[in-house]
Amino acid sequence: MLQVYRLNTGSCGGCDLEIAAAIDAAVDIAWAATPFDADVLMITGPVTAGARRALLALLQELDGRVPVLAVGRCAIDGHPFGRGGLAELASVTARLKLDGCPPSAVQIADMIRRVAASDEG
Amino acid sequence: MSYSIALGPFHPAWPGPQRFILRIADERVVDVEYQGGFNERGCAERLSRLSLPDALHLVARICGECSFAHSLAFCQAVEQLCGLNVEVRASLLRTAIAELERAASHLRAAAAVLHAIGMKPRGTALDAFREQLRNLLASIAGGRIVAAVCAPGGLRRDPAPSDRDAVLAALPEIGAALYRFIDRLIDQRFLLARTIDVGALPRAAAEQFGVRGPLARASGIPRDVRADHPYAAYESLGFHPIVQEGGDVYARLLVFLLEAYEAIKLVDAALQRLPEGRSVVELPGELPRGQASVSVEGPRGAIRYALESDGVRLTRVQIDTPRQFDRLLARTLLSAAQMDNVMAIIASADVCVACAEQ
Repeated sequence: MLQVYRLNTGSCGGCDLEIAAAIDAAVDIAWAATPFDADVLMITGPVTAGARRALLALLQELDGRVPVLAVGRCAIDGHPFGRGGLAELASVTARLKLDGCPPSAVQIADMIRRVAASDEG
Repeated sequence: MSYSIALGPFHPAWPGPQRFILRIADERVVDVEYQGGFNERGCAERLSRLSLPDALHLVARICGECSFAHSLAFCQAVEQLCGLNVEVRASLLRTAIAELERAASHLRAAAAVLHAIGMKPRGTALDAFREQLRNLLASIAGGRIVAAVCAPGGLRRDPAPSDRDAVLAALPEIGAALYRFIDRLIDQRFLLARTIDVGALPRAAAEQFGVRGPLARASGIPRDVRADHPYAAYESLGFHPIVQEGGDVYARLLVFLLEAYEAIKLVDAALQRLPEGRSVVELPGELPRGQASVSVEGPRGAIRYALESDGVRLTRVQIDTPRQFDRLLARTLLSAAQMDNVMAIIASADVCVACAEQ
């Protein structure tokens, strides 16, 4: 069972709804209770100034053990909320990026499996 | 024994980040600190710098769950500014899309409450209803979640007659199944024991805090923009707000479920009456000088847009959304609550961080 954790850093909630739909529909993916138990960490939203500190503190604790998947256009480069997203964070590298506003639940489930597979290999 | 526990800012059950620091003594909450503001994106300032097509793109993405409500409020404000009229067909379609969105949003909130008190199979059943409604939304508005279909004066996309017929064919069955679900759920002893008198928000406190939407209507305040200042096609469809007196988690759950059921009936009524024709319009090129202010009832209460234009483009945009949690409200809802009920109470308030912190 793949365990995933989601960090909303200012998203509109659309990607978060599709992630929830993807997890409801997939039998092999479940929510992790904490980010430390997760196999895949998903970031949604353009990393607002308010969320950046909390995000960086958490990623520092995790120390690169959990691969990051950027979900949605604004998590990648901040569009349409202005500059932002992981493009503005030099210290964080996403394993994979999934474009779309919002991407579909099928795409999200697919990407989670790909990130987890790349982590094992 | 007393201790502190910190919840958030990131939590799988919450759509957006928020942070609660709970002081617990004898398994009851004695004090709450609330911290929000993680999601401030400055959308309102950004909107006033954008051209109309870009503004319509952004306004649909301020909140994913209330996407159409935001678009509708913005478009109605632009219509007021330009003196545009909306045809019957477009306003019926707008009502149908807005109500589908409301039903999906309310069912997610109700499912979150049921999951939080441990009624997992019921919550999963509601999640399935929500998915069905989101799929109907996709066929009529072109997007399961973000439906940027609203345009000043009408819509940007007309559903095909076959799409309308497919939605009309699916709705009665969903409505009947939801009715059976509500009927079997609401008098279950387990549910009553876990939700009655839990997280109570008395009417006086609700008035004082200025809460809106389902949270206010569950505390006995009969306030609903759809009834008080009807817009779109609500006047012709005949609409009565749903009000519960309890103010507790149970009352809020009932308001979510009953409003979702009413919303499905409204969608059905609106689509049945839909006249033939086209509702796609051209976007206005220039905006006349002036001011406009419009409220619509979003899934979580009144959303107000105030616009100011200098004759060519927007110069000022103000967005007023239901701001549901703050320290005072969190303390009122959670004070003396049992530790086991905290997640259910937070879920029943149905905070929309994306709306509140645009």
